[in-house]
This record gives sequence, structure tokens and C-alpha cells, in this order.
Amino acid sequence: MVNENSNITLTEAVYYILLSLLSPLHGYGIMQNVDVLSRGRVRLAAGTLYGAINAMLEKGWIRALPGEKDSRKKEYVITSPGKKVLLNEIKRLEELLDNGKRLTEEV
Amino acid sequence: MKKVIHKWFWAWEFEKEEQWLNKMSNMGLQLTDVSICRYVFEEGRPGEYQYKLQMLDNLPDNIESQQYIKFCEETGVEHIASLLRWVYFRKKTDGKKFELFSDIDSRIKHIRGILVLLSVLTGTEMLILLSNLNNFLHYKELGFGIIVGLLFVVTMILDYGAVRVWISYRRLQKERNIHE
Repeated sequence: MVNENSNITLTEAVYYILLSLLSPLHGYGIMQNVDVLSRGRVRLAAGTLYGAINAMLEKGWIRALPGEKDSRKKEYVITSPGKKVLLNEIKRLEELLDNGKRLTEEV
Repeated sequence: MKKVIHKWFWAWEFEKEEQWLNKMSNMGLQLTDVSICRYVFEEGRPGEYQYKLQMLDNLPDNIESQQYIKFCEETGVEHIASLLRWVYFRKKTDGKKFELFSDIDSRIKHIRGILVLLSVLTGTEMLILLSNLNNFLHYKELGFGIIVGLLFVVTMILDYGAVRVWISYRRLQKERNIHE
């Protein structure tokens, strides 16, 4: 599982959803948070977000919180395998960014 | 005031259907209900809503579909009606384009669903056509001839639709090769 996860390239949507779920949020909360984080550049559509949430639940990267009685909206939060995936992705992005900056500066 | 319009769209023309519904919205006619070939509009503020259609993986009554529709509703999307496996959504215009999918992968998945369904229909249709053709050649009865003719027309239409969907599917896949 860990090996399988170490070479994963996350989509922009999945990356920002995982970042958002470092604290618990429901679907609409994720959308708003990603909108703010990316300063309006990334707008998650409902269908895409729903698919991504289900895929990540299946992989065990996030989990649904047991719902409170008065709240109908389901909340999600990142799991420790999810955090590992996120940290690996940040490392990968750093490499991309470092190489990009270094090589374009040389030109 | 209510206004009913009878119109037919093929499944592969869903984007054209969305455009038509948005055009109606801009003219102040907001969709309130849909059944086969029948669209019910109510007079409202021009451009108040934007419309989107989606073919679900299951029938709308299915628990998974219900969960999905509920999820969409929590994000400010309104579910207007369902027709077979299709659902009609709308959202109040907020200056940004209303989309159900914001990445290529989920668009590809949606189109693939339509393509699979059309292919299954076309395949079944062709089998029925062949068995009727066989009957016609064997019994030489006019009735079978008429059925064969009708089935042939339907098969041609479905094939045409499948090809159309396949072309947009391929186009999205090529795009997917260079960006997400």
C-alpha cells in the first residue's frame, strides 16, 4: 500500500481536497475552501467533487465522520494514509518546481 | 404563467439540449418539469438559472443516485426532474459558468457511460433486426418486412449517435494526454 502510494501523481482537485480535509469539512465547505485557497482559480464542480470523494473514501485517504443528528450534511476528514499521500505529493511538486526554476534561470 | 413545449432531443444531443434550456432561461422561461418530449416552463427573471443535464450510472430512484442528487443540492444545485437515467439540474446564475464537472476525467467518465449504454442498445437492436430479417427471408411475409425496415432505421439512428459520442470521447481522451 505504501509503495503503491509513493509514486502517485494527484490531480489538482484531489490535492486541494486533501489539503482542505486536514480539518473536517462537508462537500460545500470543501468547494468554498478550495476556491479561497486557489484565489478563485480552481472551482470544483459538484460531480467532480463527488467522484473524487468516493474514490478517496475507497482508497482510505479520507473518512466520513459519524453524522450528528441535527446535521444532515456529511463531513469528511483526512486519514493518516491520506496524509502520507499528501506529503509525498508535496515532495514531488517541490522537485518539479526546483528543477523548473533552476533550469529556466540558467537560460 | 405556464408554458409547455414539445420537443425531441436524442441522448447524444444533451449539450444542445442544455444550450436550448439556457436560451429559454435568457428569454425568461425557466424549466420546472420534464417528461418525454415535453418541457414545462414557468415565466421568471431572464437568465436567472443555468441548466445542466447528466446521465447517472443508475436510475434516479436508486440509493446511489439519491445520494448524489442530495450532495449536489447541498452545493446550491437544484434538481428539477429526472427522465429515465437522465437528471436535469439548474443553478442560480452567479456570474460564473455552471458546470457539473471541472476536470477532463469526470467528463470522460460521463461520456463513456453514454457510449456504453448506446452500444448495448445498438447491439441488442441489431440482434432483433437479424432475427426478424431471418424470419422475413424464411416466411416472406410483409409484416416481417415492415418490422425489418423500421428496425433498420432505428439501428441506423442509434449507430449514428454512438459514432457521434465516440468522436467526442476520443477528442477528450486526446486532450487528457497533455493535461488534466
